[in-house]
Amino acid sequence: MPADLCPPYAPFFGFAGVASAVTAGAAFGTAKAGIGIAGLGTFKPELIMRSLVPVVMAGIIAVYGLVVSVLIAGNLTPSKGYPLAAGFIHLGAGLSCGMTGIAAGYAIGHVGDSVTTSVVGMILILIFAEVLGLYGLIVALLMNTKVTALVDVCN
Amino acid sequence: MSDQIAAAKASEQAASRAALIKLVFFAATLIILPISSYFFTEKYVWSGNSNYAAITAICAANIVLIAYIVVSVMEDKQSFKDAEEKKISETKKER
Repeated sequence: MPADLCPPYAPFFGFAGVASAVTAGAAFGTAKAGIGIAGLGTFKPELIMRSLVPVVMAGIIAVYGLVVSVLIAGNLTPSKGYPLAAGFIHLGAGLSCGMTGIAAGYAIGHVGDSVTTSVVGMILILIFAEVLGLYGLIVALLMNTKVTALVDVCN
Repeated sequence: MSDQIAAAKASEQAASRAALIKLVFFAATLIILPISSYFFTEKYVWSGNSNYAAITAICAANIVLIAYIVVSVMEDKQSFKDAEEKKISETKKER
């Protein structure tokens, strides 16, 4: 029974979860917003600080992905018996954070590209785009709490 | 006339250097603070519970973000006021 529940290829899914949590969304958001900011910087250099808010928000999305990766990697125990169910849970957690990160980074990039004159409006829209990534992180955290119950399955 | 232009250029350079230092400070804080707070609180505050440590790290990252937004909005208001004062002084000179 334990050999069925803890096959040797189970850590593959866990580490795939760690790798998929690190987002490409933040890169897209930074790049797209940076195009708009570079255009603005030549005409109005005094607006640099507030036009970099989208870039900082894309950085926060990357921090979400990093924290989920560190969290999942800390709970991986491939040497002490790692159930396949825990591998799937970790894969799901990583994917949920990574894909919502891509969605949030996409939204932040497009909003940051069209830099408007109204700071407050832009920040409000960016906050709504950012909480998409936060929801993915919360789902990933919720999924990760289920793994602690599976610790003794392999013995 | 030329020393006015030189003074304006010097103040502009000083302003852009101050902005650069602020940006570098926020970037460094955003890199260092969340991940260090994760490991620190996991070891010493939450006694091994990594989920609470992750929540602490996310709160730290959001605090840095809110601080950046507040600083940039305040600077925006300040530069708007400076531009208005400059416009008023220029119209006074033209008279």
